[in-house]
Amino acid sequence: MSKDVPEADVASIRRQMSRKPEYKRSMMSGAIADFEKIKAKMMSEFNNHKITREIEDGPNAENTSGSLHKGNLFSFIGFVQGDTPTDEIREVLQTMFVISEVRVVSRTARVWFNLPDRKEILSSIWDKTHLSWAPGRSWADGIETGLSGLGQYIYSPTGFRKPEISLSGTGLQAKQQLKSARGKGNFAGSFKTKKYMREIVENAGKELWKLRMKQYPGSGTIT
Amino acid sequence: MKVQFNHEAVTSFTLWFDNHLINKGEGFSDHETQLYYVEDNRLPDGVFRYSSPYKQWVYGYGTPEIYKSEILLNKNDPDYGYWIDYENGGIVFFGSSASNNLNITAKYKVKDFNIYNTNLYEDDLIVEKKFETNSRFNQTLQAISPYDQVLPAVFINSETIENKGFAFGGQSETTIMFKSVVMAENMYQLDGISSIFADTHTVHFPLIGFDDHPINEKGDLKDESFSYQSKLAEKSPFFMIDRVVTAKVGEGVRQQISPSIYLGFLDFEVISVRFLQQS
Repeated sequence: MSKDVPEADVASIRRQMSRKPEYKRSMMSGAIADFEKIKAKMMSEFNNHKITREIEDGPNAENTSGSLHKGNLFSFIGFVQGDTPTDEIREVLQTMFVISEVRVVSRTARVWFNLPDRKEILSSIWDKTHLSWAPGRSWADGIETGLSGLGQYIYSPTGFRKPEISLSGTGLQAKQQLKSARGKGNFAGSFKTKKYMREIVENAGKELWKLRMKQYPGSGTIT
Repeated sequence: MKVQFNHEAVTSFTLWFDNHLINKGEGFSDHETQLYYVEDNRLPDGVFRYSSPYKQWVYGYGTPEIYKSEILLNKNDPDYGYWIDYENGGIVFFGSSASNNLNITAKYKVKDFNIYNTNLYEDDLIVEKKFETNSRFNQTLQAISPYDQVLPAVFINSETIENKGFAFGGQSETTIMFKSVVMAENMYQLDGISSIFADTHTVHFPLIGFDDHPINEKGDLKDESFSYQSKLAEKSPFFMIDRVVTAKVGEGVRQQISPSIYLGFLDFEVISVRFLQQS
């Protein structure tokens, strides 16, 4: 069509067509299908992310994310066996990454929908992923901004919970014992930050912006 | 290497943090105590350090008064001239009549929280590092050793810095993560500092370079006086606090790792818009 009809006319035809209910329906269902694809891609990116997989592999996982020198994220952050910390993030993504108010704007012949608020989604993720030993701080945020290894001292079997290391209430005086424990077992040392939820949500957000600019094919008769 | 943006960002943030705590939170107390002679191997012969039982002293909110046998001393006195070491909570005599057996008293203000920049990991700081026991804990007035880090304190670490495109023409948005560990002596202090800084979302502060830093290498003021409020009026805002997270270590965990210290965290996401090629 674009070969034979001038661009200005194509735009005009689109505008006229987009006033027709059947074309509107076709555009909207196309946009919703595209949105679902973007969401599925985002969920897949989250599910297959090295950080997600390492945490979901639990306390015996290998550090496949490359964020630690040794040990694994599950123990480093301070989760305990049976914890499923990534479920909370999955739920936020499922429930908050949604579009509503889908409508066709005849003037531009494009589908308009309100974008999920990326800041709000991230904020919810931070709220749902508090460290058990320091409520207020998010481990998911910490993956990108830096994580303390204090959790491993508290929850690791080689940390304070081990009777010969914990001097019950002496805290800082247990320094020597902890120092010696640190060189052994699962004590991980420093943490290297990695891109995680910000990138995943941002990527999906960018795709949605592109979707707003998309024009959908349709068929019908202009009268 | 010449001074880089990150150096100046850390200086600016630390100065702002320090001043905000003192100015908004009135995070200091007045003291009048004896100053005690302490040996200091870092000082040359003929100069004598006298330390108070408390550090760090507040600068920019009045000048400490130093008395020798109840006579107010002038800093430039030819016999008993001295400089003030605000960071280490004391004075250093360099006057010709100075000795190690003077009867010195002082009136000064002490910060509720000492502020330190660190590059230690939090777990190292909390679990492995041993801190000087401050007189505030044991109630016995004695000199605090110079150069030791003393609690209650806040340890500030600039963990990450990231640039991303902001506008055409090469303008970037720089995000710096400042993570701070708070070690307080009681719950009141910890709740207080958490509350003060939780409310700093969207607060602006200026870029203050090394040259403008008020303290010299001896720990004294470079000029006769210093006012951070004047700096705020002189300089344009350059940084903005975009996000603040405050957290406390739960009571059960605190009992395990540091029963005498109340632990908290203050994390700041600070942003600035700038042209990278011009820095």
